[in-house]
Amino acid sequence: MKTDDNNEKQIEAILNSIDNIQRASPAPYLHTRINARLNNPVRNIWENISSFISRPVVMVAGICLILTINISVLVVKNTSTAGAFTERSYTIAGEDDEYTNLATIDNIETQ
Amino acid sequence: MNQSEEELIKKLKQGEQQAFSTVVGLYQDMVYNMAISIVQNEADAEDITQEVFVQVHQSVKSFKGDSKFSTWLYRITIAKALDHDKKRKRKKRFAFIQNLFGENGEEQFTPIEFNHPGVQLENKENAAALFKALKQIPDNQRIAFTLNKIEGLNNHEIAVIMNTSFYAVESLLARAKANLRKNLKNYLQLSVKNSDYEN
Repeated sequence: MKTDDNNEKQIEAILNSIDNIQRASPAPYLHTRINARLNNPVRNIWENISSFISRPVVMVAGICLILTINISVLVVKNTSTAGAFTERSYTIAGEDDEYTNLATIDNIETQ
Repeated sequence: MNQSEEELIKKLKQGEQQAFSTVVGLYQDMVYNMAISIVQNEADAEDITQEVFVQVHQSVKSFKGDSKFSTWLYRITIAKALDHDKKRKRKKRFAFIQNLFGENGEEQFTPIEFNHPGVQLENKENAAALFKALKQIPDNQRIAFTLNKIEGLNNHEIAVIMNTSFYAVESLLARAKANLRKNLKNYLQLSVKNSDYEN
């Protein structure tokens, strides 16, 4: 009970702590800094993006990424071509077998 | 808007450099104080103050004079400060990614105790607790409370700035105080627990 009363008093003291607050002032020569900003306006978003892209680290990372994508595409393409070639070989082999079989049947018929 | 203010705005719209200097001199404390109370960081508040006056310089022609010039300035400041706060929160969320790459991203965003330069020395500790609790309540309640308690504006003035009704401001302030009490109660209980643990 006593703690609650103490807490209430303390909360009241905290809420009243800014009652006689003074206005804060900025650092001197604010006007000079504003004028400097007006004369050198802050860059827009496109300028920021272009400056980010032209950073050496970003450029190198970009080139590495493009090379990796290219290499991976080539590897995937080669693997799939090799797979298709093997499949085709099997098909041709199958066709040969069929002919062989047919020939065998012919042979049987002639025999 | 009084006559001298009207004259000043007219000169500002005509692009007179002297008028702009006068406006900066007259309102810099107001803008900076509002910004620092919202973002709770001196460097960020300074940056926002500069941005506000740059915007004033660039878009004063769009100021129609329907409201007071200070009301317009308050609106710009609040919008910029809240925007800055959101950006900071977004950056904080992505700070862990920087940590993965070995940069101390999260360290930049670790909140340090904020001490408003205008608070009296004997109230510094309590005011720091209040500013910490203020960060945890919704934006509109925080703005209404800041305009009332720190800028000393009445409910009518706050209603004009926030573009809402007098009764809405009353309700916002009541809810802000209730939420602050709740947060401060938790904060005090946590402090007691921590001190018990240390003992």
